[in-house]
Amino acid sequence: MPDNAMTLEQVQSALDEQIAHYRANADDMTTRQAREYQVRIHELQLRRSVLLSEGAEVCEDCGGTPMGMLKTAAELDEFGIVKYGAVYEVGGCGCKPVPNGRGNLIMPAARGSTPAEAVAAWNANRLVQKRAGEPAAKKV
Amino acid sequence: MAAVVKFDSFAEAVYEKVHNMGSDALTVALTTNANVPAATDTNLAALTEIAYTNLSTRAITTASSAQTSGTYKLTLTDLTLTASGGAVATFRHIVVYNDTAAADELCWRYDYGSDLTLGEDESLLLDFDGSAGAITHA
Repeated sequence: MPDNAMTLEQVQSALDEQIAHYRANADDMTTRQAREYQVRIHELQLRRSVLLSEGAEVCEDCGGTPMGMLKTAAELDEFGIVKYGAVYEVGGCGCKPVPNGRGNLIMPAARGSTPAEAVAAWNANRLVQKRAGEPAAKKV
Repeated sequence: MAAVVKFDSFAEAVYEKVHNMGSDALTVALTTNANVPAATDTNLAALTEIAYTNLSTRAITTASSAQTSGTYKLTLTDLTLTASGGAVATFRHIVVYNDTAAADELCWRYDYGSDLTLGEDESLLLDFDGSAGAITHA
């Protein structure tokens, strides 16, 4: 099946399979074999990004095409109950964060609890604000 | 927490085919402040890691590794480290290394800024900056 006919679930499944095989066998692969896996993984990652940002408009500032990604995976407790849900993000084109004058940075990215929510937020220009100097690791 | 601090050798390793950041298994190692990683450390064996008893997976998921208009960007899904079944040993430094590379070469690290202990069911969220990129190279 061509990549552009695959669903997000199919792309993720194929990607998981390629990555697992590559990492399990990387030490025994020839350079050429390893490269074939690396290229395939790259193709599938790009396809996943395209699917996660489907419907997102190009950046009105830089004209760049935004990417889509799973920003934070959902966290489940020991009973399988969601402690906090997944966060998807669309953005990351050629723009830099912009100070908003109140100590925050406006990031070239929008978020949602589903890919569609993140795309809608991006298209509506509801961008993520981040405290300048916000720690990259925090207890949650 | 301070910004990303690269290990010196990482700058060379990316040009000498040690890493494929798009497909290799980037993983987190934790150390105490008594065992601060040095900029000159090159691989995992140089570190004194804490015991990982009760800690969730330390494997990082790569979202993408690509360039746009000549600027390379590595984007990573946030990693949540959770203590389950008891507390996790105290740590401070969070190191990212390449578990697929031949010698588990070190990439970069963060300094949490103070000692940190995760009690049972407590979590630490490592925010890799989403689509802005964990690392970029123009």
